[in-house]
Amino acid sequence: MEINSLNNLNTLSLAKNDLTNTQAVQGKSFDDILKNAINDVNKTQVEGYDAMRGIATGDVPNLQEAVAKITKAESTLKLALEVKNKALGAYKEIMRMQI
Amino acid sequence: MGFFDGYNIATSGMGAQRTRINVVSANIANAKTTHTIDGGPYKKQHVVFEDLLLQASNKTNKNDSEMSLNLKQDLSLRGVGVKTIVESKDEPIMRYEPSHPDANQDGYVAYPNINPVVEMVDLIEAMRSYEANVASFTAHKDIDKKTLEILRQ
Repeated sequence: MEINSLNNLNTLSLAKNDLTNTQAVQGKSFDDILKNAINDVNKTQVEGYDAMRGIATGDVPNLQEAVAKITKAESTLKLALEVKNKALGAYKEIMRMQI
Repeated sequence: MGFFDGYNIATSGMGAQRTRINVVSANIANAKTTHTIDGGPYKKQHVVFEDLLLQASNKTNKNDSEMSLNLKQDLSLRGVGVKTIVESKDEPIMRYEPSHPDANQDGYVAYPNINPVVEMVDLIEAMRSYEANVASFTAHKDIDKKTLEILRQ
């Protein structure tokens, strides 16, 4: 009886390992998600800078579109900064952990 | 109802009101124009607005509320656009000025039927409307700013 129960325990842990492995393969990695997010933020930044250049050179067809683009760039960058601060905070928290 | 749809709608309103201000300015500028390419005096112009579905490219990441409500295309957020600019059918004002080059055989000159006072009121209304759109844009910006402050604490 005792040997049997031990065997059961072994298979359970093996199954658990399989589950975590497949999840990592199926889902996007954290690296990909971070890269995509940074690319999106960069895109809005480039659009914002283009709009600013348009205003400076005077070839903006409508001012309100340019202002909207700059505002979007501003708020996406702010969000990215806050996420970065949070991530760094978490890292610092782990570094401070007593071992 | 994406993250930036509110900005896009407010911007569309600003664009529409800007067009209206431009048209009213043209009416004021041409209040005494007696000669046009088509012949006859200048005719007062009106802007006709229509609602516009936000373009798919303009729509930003849909959030959960729209997904769960399963809104039909007809009920989703709409911006405003200029449908067309039409000419007024008002009769021109005839004034007796025989020495004027645009005078007819009887010595009458056709002046556009434009009342500058009415145009000024139109201009003020368009300006206030534009300001209202700016206020809604600012409101969107402010709520986003407030939301980001949650992360800071």
